[in-house]
Amino acid sequence: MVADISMSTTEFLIRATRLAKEYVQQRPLSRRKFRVHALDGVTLEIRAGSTFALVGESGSGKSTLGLCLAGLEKPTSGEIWFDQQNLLTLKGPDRARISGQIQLVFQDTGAALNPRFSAEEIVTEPLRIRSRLTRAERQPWAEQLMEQVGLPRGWLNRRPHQFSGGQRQRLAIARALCVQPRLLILDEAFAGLDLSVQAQIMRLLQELQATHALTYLFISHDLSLMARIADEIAILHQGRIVEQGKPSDLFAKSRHPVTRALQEAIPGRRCGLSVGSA
Amino acid sequence: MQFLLEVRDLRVDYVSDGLPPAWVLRAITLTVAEGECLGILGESGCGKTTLALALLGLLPDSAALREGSICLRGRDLLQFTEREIEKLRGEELSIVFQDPSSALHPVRRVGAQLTDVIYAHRPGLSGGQRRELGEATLKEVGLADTERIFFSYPHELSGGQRQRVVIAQALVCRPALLIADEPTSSLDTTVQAEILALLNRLRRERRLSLIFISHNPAVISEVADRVVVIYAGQIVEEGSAREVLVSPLHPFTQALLSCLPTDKGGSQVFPAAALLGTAPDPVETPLGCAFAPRCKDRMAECELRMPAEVCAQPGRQVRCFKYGG
Repeated sequence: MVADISMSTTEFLIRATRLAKEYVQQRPLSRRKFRVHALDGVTLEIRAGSTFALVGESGSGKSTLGLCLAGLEKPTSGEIWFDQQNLLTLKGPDRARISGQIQLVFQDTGAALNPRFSAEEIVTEPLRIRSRLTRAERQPWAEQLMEQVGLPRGWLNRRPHQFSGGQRQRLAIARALCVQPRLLILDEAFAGLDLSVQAQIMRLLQELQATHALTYLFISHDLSLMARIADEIAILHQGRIVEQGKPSDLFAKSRHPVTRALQEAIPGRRCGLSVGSA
Repeated sequence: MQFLLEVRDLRVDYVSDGLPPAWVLRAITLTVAEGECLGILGESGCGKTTLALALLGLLPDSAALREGSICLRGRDLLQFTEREIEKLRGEELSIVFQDPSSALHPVRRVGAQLTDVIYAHRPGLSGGQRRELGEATLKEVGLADTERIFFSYPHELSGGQRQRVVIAQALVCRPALLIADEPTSSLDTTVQAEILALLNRLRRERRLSLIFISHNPAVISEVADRVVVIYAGQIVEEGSAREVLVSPLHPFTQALLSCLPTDKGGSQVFPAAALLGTAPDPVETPLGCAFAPRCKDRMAECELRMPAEVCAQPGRQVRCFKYGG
């Protein structure tokens, strides 16, 4: 079961094959139902320890893909393999163990953090659910997690509204790290943050990746930022991966019109203020 | 030279019971020429939006405009009555906010919301004329199938379409100056590029003046002719967009630009200390330069007194002791 260390660097941590997800929708006051293909045969593999970015416009299916990989949406068809195990057929405690290894960080921390919880309750909530540790036993974890994401330990009693947007995003990352995941899925986790805060969070994530052997899946519409941090980028369009590759290759010889449109939409290219500046 | 808009020494405080007044805008002086686009660059909380609201006379009750003047074509708006300002908004000045879904009424058709603006400013027009003007404006902001859109509810439109409707609302009575406050921050990159192209086209076709507010220098570089950089309620740097964004002088502008993902350096790792820490609490009036605690070029002088604005190069103002402030 356990691959040896030298192997694991080239192992795929998560692999999805021919993933499809259909939603049945109905217009208001109409009886007619129609199907929406949110995902249409997506195949991707993410190497352990790497950073993978899914880039697409809104409605391209990128968030649905993230939810499917996290096990929060059930795909209509296809397979998801995590660490050599079929995620969609696992049941009971095996499934629960794996779901702790995949954690999500969302864009809107205002909605993702319970306003009535203290920082301590927020970051240790996964432990409260998954372990039998008492509150006193969870306390040192909370302190350690705060430290890891660069927040003062003394702030454990604060509530989300007492944190700034960037600090709340750190809190969400601390909560995701609580159960020592291997894959972190970050869905537009930087949208709406100031550039300096964005850079600080990026830096934090890069440090955590090195110390915790984390694998990242970033979901974003910002091709420029993703090109800066990802090892591999997949461009999603209408539920399909239309192009995939290393950032430098993707910029040098993009073939698909969607990739080119995303590239041309990057602001600041003329002034050299972005990746792939003209 | 006669400017369209001329703001002199504007100072705004926020006052609330039991707290000392908060330092929001200090000595803001800026001009916008006819047909020009002025970019306002700054982090969240630096006072960008307060400035926009002050220009429109829309400051909340908790804000106190202490000093300064706002002159539009030479007339001081601060001397205007509420009614006169109301008439001005929409006809001379207009604003587009960040989030188009909260700017539109959710249960009224967008056409009705558009013709409301026309009715308020041109009460003489008939219903048919209002609709004609409304649809023509929708077409002008790049919406196809204007008839369908006219009778749609906001939730039936995409984010980009909604922002176009809001822009149409702002422009339907042909104002001379449009203030766009982070108009693309809630949109996808590709939609953002479309909206930026639209604003540039409207500037050309209508000779529209634009104040474009953003936290992102890359976005500002797409539209602005000139840029002012605001830090903690003060203008710290000013100059032509190209000069400020390509070779910034103030340490804050330099640090902010280094946070942009570019291929300079080539390394995948983000620079460690590009811009650490946060802006000062607006309640504490700093003795020295507000940026000093985060500044990598800090000198002893910086914490003792406030640097003055100096002309570092022709056409470039900077508030920093490095340049003799």
